[in-house]
Amino acid sequence: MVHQHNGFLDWLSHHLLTCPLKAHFGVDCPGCGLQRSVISLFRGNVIESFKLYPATIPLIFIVIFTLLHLKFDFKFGAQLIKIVFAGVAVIILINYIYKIYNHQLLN
Amino acid sequence: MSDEQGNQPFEPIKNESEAVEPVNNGPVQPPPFQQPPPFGQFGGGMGQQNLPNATIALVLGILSIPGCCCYGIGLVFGIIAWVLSNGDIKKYNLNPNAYSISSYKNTKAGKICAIIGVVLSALYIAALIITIVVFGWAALKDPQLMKEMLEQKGLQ
Repeated sequence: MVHQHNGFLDWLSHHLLTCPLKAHFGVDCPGCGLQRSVISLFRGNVIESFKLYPATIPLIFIVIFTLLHLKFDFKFGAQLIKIVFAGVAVIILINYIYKIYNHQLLN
Repeated sequence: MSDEQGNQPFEPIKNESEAVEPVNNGPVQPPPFQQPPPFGQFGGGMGQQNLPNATIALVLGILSIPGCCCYGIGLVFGIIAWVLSNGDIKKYNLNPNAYSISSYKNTKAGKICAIIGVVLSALYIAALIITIVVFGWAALKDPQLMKEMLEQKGLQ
């Protein structure tokens, strides 16, 4: 069962959607790294996932929380979603600026 | 120790206000009881239905960030969610009693998420355009040339 799971993740990691910007221009876009990060998170490498794309964990959290909120209607659900979403946006911006300054865009 | 105020007869509070009548300030007021509630409703008091696009606006607004970079899908999602939530907020303001508060909150959250997603996508596209203007199309097509130009400008 475990082997099957790993095999599926391996297959998935070889069949990622290609970023059009990276494919055409060779430059990372602000979302590059998200899919690799999600896969490494599924493999259990939280730190590696964070290094690849820091916003993955809050993004997954917000998606799951939204589904739960739509199902159960938490009292402060909408407020929490707003706050976490703004946080995710800030993380993505900071991450991209950091990448630009460290010349990690061209690789 | 007798308290003077304690001996006074207790007066019942007389502020029985008139029953609040619903204000009919619009030509079109949909009767809240005749329409069946939509699927997937959350909360909602008696006779209150959810705003029709609350869930869609919230979900699309959240999806506008992960889709921000793939072919500009995020921009499309964000704009759709923004427009839908704007329409719903207008509907709610026209007739606040007919719709549940939780769906109104969800719509507002969806609107804010959509705005953030649209702003991020717009920033991304603007940055792309600026890069093309500064470095030219050819440099973007050729990573080697791009590196050389970056070295010329002392950026790398």
